[in-house]
Amino acid sequence: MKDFMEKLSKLTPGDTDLEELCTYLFKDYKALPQSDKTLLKAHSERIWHILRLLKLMAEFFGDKLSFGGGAIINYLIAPHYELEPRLTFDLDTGWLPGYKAKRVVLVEIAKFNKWLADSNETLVLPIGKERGIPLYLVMYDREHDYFPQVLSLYIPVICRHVGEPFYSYLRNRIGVELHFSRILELKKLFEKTLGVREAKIDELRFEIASMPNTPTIKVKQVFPGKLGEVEFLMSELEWQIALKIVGKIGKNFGENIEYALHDILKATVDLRLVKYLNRSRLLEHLKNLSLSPSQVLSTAEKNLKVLAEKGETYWLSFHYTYLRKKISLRELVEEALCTIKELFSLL
Amino acid sequence: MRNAVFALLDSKVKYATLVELVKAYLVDYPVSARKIVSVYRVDPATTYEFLRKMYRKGIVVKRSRGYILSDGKVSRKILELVETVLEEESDERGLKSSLRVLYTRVPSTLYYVSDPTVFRQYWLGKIESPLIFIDRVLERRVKLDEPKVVYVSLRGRDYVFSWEGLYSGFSIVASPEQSYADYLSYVTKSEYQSILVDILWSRKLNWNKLLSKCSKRGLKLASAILLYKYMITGRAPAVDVRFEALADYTAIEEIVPLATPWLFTNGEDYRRNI
Repeated sequence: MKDFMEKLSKLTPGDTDLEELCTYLFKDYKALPQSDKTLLKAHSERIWHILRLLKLMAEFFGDKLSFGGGAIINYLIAPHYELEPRLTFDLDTGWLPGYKAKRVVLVEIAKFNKWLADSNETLVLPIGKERGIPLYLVMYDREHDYFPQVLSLYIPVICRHVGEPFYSYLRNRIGVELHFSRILELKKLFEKTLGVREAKIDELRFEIASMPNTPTIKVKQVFPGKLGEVEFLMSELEWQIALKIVGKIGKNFGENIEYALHDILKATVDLRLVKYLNRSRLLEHLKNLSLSPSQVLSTAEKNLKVLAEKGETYWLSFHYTYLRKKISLRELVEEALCTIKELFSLL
Repeated sequence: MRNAVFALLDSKVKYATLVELVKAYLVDYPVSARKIVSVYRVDPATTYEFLRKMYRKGIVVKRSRGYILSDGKVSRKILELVETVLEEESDERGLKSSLRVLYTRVPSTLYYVSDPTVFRQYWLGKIESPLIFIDRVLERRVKLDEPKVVYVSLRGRDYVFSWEGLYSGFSIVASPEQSYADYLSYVTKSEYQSILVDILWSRKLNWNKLLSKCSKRGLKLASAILLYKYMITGRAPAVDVRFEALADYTAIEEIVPLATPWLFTNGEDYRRNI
């Protein structure tokens, strides 16, 4: 049990870690109202785990894997330019050697799990005299894995505030029914180590897509708190933004536009980065990715108009709590529209 | 003639003890009461009592590791009777070459056969030739013309005599866990891959027992199977060892391609591009 407690405190962020992370991500965090602070701090625990996962994967996979998407843009790039991040809780990665079938990557993931166990980065939850359930191992996400070139995975981690209570998670997901006395015992341990009795198990989702021709750059970043420094390959930002313009904002969704509004909103938020990017590189990617620039532009105008009219439901979600304080949806859409028009005028 | 001695004596204890004593005499290696009890699953008190009675009558003599038939008159008669019955039985069953030698001459406490297909649930094939394990003390005494004979210490191995009849021509078979452990430990990838489906799908398998029966190599493979199965299904195995750390990279590379089709069945692997 002593070993379990030591490991648990190593594998979960402490209160100061979360405070540091919040201050790093949300510049005026300390001046926010208490309700917002509580919400952001609760979710920053997941962000901490995402950054930890990124660090471990970068260390193990090295040049085989590139990182990109919302988590990278909002948690690593946006704070660098003092932009307000939106909350996102998955990690997008690309398998640079590419794969025809996912089992190539499944072998590597199984090896990664073994490496995690050897490096003491997994946690065995004691559920009986000798028996334990290994957590913090990467699992195949059968429920969400349906795209042929994207492998969906998740990693169960222990959190204070988000996720499913540990005993119900064990029963529902892992098929283990805990004895009541063991639940009480574990609750006491969690209270001692994490400060909460009702600890939760949360599933951090991440994806590995086959991306053989992705342009990448090497990034060295210092994470706040005990996570330390990490060096990893990142998909070129200009390429990511160009992809968001062509594949999300400028994509013709037809009648299904309302189902795609959240994706369009996310891409619109990330578009604020454009002014910090290498313009010629961005234009080059845009030119390569869009078959008909004029069509992309007109669809983008249409989509953004729908977003301004009907996107409020998504905009009011907790993912934009911090962002909403700085900018309104209308302003965001107008800004994005100007950016896109300007970019396409240069093509 | 089937189990004629057993029918004559009308006692499992007496049948087991006499047959074992005769076979022990033939290979000149004593048999212990404890071994008879564990392999034949007979009543310990009666077995010890029966052996003590024979000892008092001078039919058996004590040696450091157990009992063996004496050279007395009664012993000779018992030897002749049991030998004849075993020969007749093997004729009746059509046992030839190695199977015959094992049935008539090798003590059941000193060998067993690993044939996982005996307990098969999902795979309907047949193992080419089962693995035969003979106690290393008989290495110079028993030579078999079989491709897969392993001479090892049988200490701690889980096998029993089958009172119900023969399995693949053998009467001494290992438990499912012991068989799977033996296959993972002693045969090549091409030979164990056909039984992998049973290991992966079996719900009744005692994984703790299986892992404890494995050799070093078998343990790595079994742990890789557990790790991959847990990773794909999300259901935790009931084990008290850290399988995720015991698997090694080579074992993972070997197991994943073999196990994937059994964990994604009915074309699921094709639909998901796995």
